[in-house]
Amino acid sequence: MDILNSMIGGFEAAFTLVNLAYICVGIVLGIIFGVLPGLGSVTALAMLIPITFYFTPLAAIAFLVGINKGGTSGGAIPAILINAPGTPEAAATALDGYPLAKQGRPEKAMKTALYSSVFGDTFSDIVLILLAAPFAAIALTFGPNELTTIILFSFTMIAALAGRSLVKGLIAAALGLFLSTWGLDPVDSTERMTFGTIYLFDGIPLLPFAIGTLALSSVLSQLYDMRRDRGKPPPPPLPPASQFRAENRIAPREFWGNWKTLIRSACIGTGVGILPGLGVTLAAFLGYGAARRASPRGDNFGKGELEGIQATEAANSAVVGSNLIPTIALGIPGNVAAALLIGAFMIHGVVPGPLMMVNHAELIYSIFASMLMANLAHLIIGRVGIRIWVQFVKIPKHIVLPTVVLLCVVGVYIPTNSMFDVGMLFLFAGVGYLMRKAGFSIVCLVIGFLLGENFEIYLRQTVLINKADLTVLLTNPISLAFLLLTLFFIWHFGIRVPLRQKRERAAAREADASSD
Amino acid sequence: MRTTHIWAGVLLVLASVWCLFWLIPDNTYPPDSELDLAPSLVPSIAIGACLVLALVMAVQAIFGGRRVEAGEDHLDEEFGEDATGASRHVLVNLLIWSAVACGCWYLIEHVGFEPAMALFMAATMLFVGARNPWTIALVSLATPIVLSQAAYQFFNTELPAFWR
Repeated sequence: MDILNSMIGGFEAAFTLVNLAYICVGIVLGIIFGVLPGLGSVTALAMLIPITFYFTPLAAIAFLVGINKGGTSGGAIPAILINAPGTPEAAATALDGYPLAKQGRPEKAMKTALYSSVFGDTFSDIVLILLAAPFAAIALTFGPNELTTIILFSFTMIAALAGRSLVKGLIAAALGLFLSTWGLDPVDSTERMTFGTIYLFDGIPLLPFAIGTLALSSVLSQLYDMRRDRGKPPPPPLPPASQFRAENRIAPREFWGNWKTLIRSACIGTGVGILPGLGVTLAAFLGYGAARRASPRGDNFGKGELEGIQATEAANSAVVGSNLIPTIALGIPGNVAAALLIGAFMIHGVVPGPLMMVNHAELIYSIFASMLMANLAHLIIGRVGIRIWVQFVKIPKHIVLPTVVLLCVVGVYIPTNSMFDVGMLFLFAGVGYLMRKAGFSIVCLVIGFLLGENFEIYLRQTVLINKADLTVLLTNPISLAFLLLTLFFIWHFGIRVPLRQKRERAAAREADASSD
Repeated sequence: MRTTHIWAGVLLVLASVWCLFWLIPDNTYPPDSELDLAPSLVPSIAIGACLVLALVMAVQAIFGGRRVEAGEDHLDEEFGEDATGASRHVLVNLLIWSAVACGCWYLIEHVGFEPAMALFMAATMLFVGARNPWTIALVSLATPIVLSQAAYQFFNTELPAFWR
């Protein structure tokens, strides 16, 4: 009943023309960024967070959530039309979307993707609304002891799950933690790696760091790839316009006939989203795989089966809402998009964590209401604008990518009017580019940077409260549990899995040798 | 990628040692309270972890890498085909970016956003293979001006320019 009353209050605050306008603009921008290959919702979030400085906290978060929702589904459009996913998670959508487009039904595929995406989004938003408060209530009983070990565990889990190499993931997280310590000490306020410049008193600025490593490094990489690939044949053209009129309708029975797939995929996406470190792409492929195994038409997957599109889009969109559960309850981002939203919360004076539900309950429920409104807006805007989004796929990359660089520069300059931030942006773009090429996880770097300050504060509070006696972490059952989980993850992903893979490779080589 | 891991490991070890023994001690203060942790502790823990892990990565690459055969070095999960290894080509690209970034920064600061970014856009479009002079000229001139005006009209922010 409390949740219902709170949601009614949330809708009251969120249901304004201004808020709706921000949501709609966010969705449109998110879809556009999702449609343009190589960009996506993470780039859009990183670039557009600075402009939310001038918004109210509710409008800012509603705008950014709209971008996230639009971006996640926008990537399906180029995946379906030209087999060039706009976002990594849309690669799974291309498996059935592109064959369906080649059969002359691209718009049917895009509509299916949109409706499934909205379904998955709404499902996970409802789970978020039902679970966020209970999770936060449990987290409120945690003190610095527990939170220190929870963040330590998060570092390890994210590093373990962010890529194939645990070692490289942990290196990136450790570097992020180190960079987060630059600036004034959070307890003593003494200078630490400021090099005598006041620009570093507040630490390395978050926006240039995030935009440089996440967005600008990706753009750099694509520019160099374009340079390398110039002279190669152009990508296949879009299907002719006549195909957008033929066999475009999708009957309600045709869509809802696969309701089991929709719900299964939404559950998979929601589950993946709740656990920090698991990505949207994983959810998409897990949903697809589960649907193919369970479906009586499993053999048709990969040949333009609607159920395949429904499975991937419902799963990847369901991550968006549930990802905010650990973010709001614990202040621990589930993925990069959630990490950027944490940055946005902090910019607006809202510290994510269990106290968020206590100190900012009205704002949180207004955000929940905005998310539900955003799903409806997403459905309408996405459906009405289907033929418009297609046009964005045609914009040449040699115009889009340099424009994105300019947007990044303007984006970091606007909040602080400081060329120091522009310099940091360029510096971290280079760092991010090198990390990309060397296969070091930028996700771990960013999350290590974001969690680093809290980790240090909780650790030092633990030391001060317990008079430098850290054995309390071993006697506290919750802390001990998370420490053991940390050690388990290190053992499992750092030793056991690589050894098993090594044995499998050796067995495969022996089998090849004996067959020769 | 094996060579990248070895070199990255070596460079990270050297950088970590430098941070541990020079950068952090020279740029931090002792703690105010006996009960508190030193301000240098968490950065040292982070860099120490980086040092140990870099050593592990380099050792794994040196002694484990020889047995990896072609096709077994799977695609990186975060970056896919983008993770090609930090080859000489990548380092040259990084140098190019460093020079371009320094040049852009200097020009924005001392000349202005519009001329600097117009030059940057034109150069970038030529770099990636655009050849239509009208498109290059129009986009390069119009985009910085539009963005500059948008920043002023919507956010009341004037981008740098010597004439402002």
